[in-house]
Amino acid sequence: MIRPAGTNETRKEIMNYFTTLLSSRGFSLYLPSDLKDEIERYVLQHQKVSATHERAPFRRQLDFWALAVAVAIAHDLPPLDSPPSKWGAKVVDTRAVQLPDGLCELLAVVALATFGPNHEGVDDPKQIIDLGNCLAGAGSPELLKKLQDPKLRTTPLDKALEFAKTTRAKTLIPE
Amino acid sequence: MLKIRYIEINNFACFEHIEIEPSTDPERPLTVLRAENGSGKTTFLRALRWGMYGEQGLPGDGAKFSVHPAWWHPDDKGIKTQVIIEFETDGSTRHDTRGSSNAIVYHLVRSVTTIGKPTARADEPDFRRVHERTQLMSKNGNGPWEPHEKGADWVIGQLLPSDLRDFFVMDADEAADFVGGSENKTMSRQAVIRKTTSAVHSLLGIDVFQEASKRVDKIAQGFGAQATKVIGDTNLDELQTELNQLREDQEELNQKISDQRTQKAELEDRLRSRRDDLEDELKNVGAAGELRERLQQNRQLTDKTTTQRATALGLLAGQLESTELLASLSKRKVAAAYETLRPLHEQGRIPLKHIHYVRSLLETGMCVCGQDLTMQGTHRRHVEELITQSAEQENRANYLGQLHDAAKSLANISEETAWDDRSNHYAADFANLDNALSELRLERDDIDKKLSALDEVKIQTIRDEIAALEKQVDNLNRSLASDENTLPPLLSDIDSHEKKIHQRQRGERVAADKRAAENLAYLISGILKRAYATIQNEQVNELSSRMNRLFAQMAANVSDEELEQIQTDKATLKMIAEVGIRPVETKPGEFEIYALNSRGRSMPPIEINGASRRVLALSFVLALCIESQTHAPLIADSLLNFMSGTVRRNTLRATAENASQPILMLTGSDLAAPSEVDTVQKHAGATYTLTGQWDAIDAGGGGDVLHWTEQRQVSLVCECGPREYCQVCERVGWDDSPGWNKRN
Repeated sequence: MIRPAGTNETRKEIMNYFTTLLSSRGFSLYLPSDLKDEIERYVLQHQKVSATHERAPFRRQLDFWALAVAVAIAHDLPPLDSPPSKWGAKVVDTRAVQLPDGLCELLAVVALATFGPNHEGVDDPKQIIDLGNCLAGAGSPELLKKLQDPKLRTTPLDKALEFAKTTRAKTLIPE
Repeated sequence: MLKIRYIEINNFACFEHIEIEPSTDPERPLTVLRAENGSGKTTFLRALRWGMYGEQGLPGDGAKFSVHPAWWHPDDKGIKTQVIIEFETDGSTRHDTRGSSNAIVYHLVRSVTTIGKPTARADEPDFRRVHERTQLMSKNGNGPWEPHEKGADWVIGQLLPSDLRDFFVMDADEAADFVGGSENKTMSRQAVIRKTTSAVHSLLGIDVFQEASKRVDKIAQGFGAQATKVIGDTNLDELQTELNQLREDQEELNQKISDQRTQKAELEDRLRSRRDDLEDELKNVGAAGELRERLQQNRQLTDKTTTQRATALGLLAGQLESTELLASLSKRKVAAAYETLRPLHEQGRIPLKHIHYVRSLLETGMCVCGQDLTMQGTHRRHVEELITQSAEQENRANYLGQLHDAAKSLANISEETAWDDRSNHYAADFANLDNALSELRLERDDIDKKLSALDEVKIQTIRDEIAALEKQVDNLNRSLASDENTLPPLLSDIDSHEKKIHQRQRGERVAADKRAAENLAYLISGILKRAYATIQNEQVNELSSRMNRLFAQMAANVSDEELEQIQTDKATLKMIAEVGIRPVETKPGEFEIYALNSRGRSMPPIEINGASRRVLALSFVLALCIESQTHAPLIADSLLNFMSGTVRRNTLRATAENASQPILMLTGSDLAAPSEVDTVQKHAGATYTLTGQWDAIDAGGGGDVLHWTEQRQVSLVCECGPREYCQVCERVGWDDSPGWNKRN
């Protein structure tokens, strides 16, 4: 049973609430299959042991996927409208990889904002993950583009952070 | 000239005390000591010899000879024997007859004390002599008596040497030794020659020539030896050759040493240079240790920094995973969601709180309307149906409530600047660490570069080179030291050779002088030898001639004038036609007395009778004294024995006339003839009579001493002449003998 929020629960418990929700079943996280190899170049997990974050800023594809979701939202990119299986490649199995609590919380919140409170998908983990996949599918090219920005003669990490920083700054400017 | 002035004998054999003052009158030089046999003539001679020469003047083993009186007994207390001889000279000696204006008078006192000595053997003397004293006083002219600084032996040795004691103080028997001995004693020819030669040499002074010649020969030899010595036995050319060789060796050695020193200097320069190189390299090696340590630290720090950097990098990269970043980037959606849910939440629609309240009412059993809900009534069922119908709505509302809280929380997070701060912080950390790593890398590169610049092989090579150089220097030093050690002896050798050469050259000059001196010395020696030969021949000829004349005068009663005739008519001397002295053919420098018969044949001594032998000996002694101009006493005992008639008279006369100070001890029979008495009276300046004061039976002829005593049998002296007698010397029958005068 879902316990009411705002009672005696801590934030951690809240996050765990959504983590539990999104981990109740096994889901797949997708990234654009045409970008998969490119993306993997920036994922440390997929690089040699000697590789560092400078060249591969993301530990896991999950981390790229999460930032791609945020980038899509930040750049107001509409989620891809086709099912991920149409355009994407499975990069993470949520049964193998524990989704971070904050991400689960954010995904649930984004789903609410996207679907509206009365939408059936608001508390549907599948739809929430699907939304995330479609947003990641939308944000990945932008993020990848930033990582590969030839103008910046810095490391991919620097580029990623710089991109994150500027994007964040933009989002934080009151409209 | 020597003359005895006084003789005193005390406690010597048969003499207790006698005093004699021989004649010193040149006109009447004869002193006659008349004494019958056994009266002490021989003893007188011995006492005189002892006084002059000590024990060596005594016959046989002088130490065993008794000088003490016969009456003395070893058990008695010691007895002192003393002989005093006073004599004078004119300052001349045998070798220097010049003399001086003032006569020197000597007073010789010789004394000894005889004490008894126990003895086990009969042939051992039962006495010994102690405290022998010899004192010689002298005075010059009328000056005071003073002890003579050179002593008695020296003075006597100069005036009358002991080897001539038999010559001047002669027993007639001993005088015959010059001609082969007496009747009772035959001497070997060699002994005779030696005795004769000694007298001739000594008195003629030709021994001086011989000695001088020998001495000059010795001096010449000395000059020769000095010449040889100063020149040395090494040839000058050889020395020069050796010196040249040594100089070549020195030059060679100097060159070698110089080369070695140069080589050494070069090696040392190289060594110094390589040592500097090594030092530099070793400094680097020292730095290398430091570098390696730094490198180690660098590595550790790099590892640590790398880890830190990786951590920082992880943290920095982790910012990309941060919920804050995701929330801020998703701010629009978060904000939208919050804005959607916030009214619902504010309206209490999310979550649905009343269902929870109703459920608590059901649990408490009391409805808000006051009805009992504990019972299963309508109201309870209505409440339960209401709760059931609201459950789905409640879940959704609760979910939205959760979303509200989450959106609110995310919205808050998205607004926070912590991400930027952390990102900046992490980035700064990372940058710092990156810089640190860069610096460490730079440092490491630098260290690596320095380390790579180090060359251990080079160091080892330098070390090997240094070791080799050191070995070379060491070898060189050893060689140099050896050569340098060789140099001083070589230089010393050169110096020595130079000195030798200089010395030799100087020596040759000195040697030339020495050789000249040697030649001169040999010349002098030759002159001396020739002089010696000449003098010897002349003097010996003269001596021989003198002897012949004296012999003829004494033995044949031939005057000098007559002798010339005799020479033409040797037949007048039937038995011995000629006497003389001649060199011994087989022994140059030695002489012998010879006698030739009328046929000119040499007569052996055995063929010459005793009287002739004494005359011959006396003619030799007198001739020698005359030819040598020796003025010394001639003290002779029993000279006229075996002589008779004219021979005795002539002998007495010749002796009195030719001897400087004849002191003759004669028996009464020697003076029996008036001619002898006349001769004595004519020539004697002093006459004495010795009389043994004992029974004449033992004493021999001459008759009993009239006044002898048994108490102390001694020999006494009186001044009675040939035909005189006194209380002391009177013998039985003299008082009524014609021609005898009694003295008071």
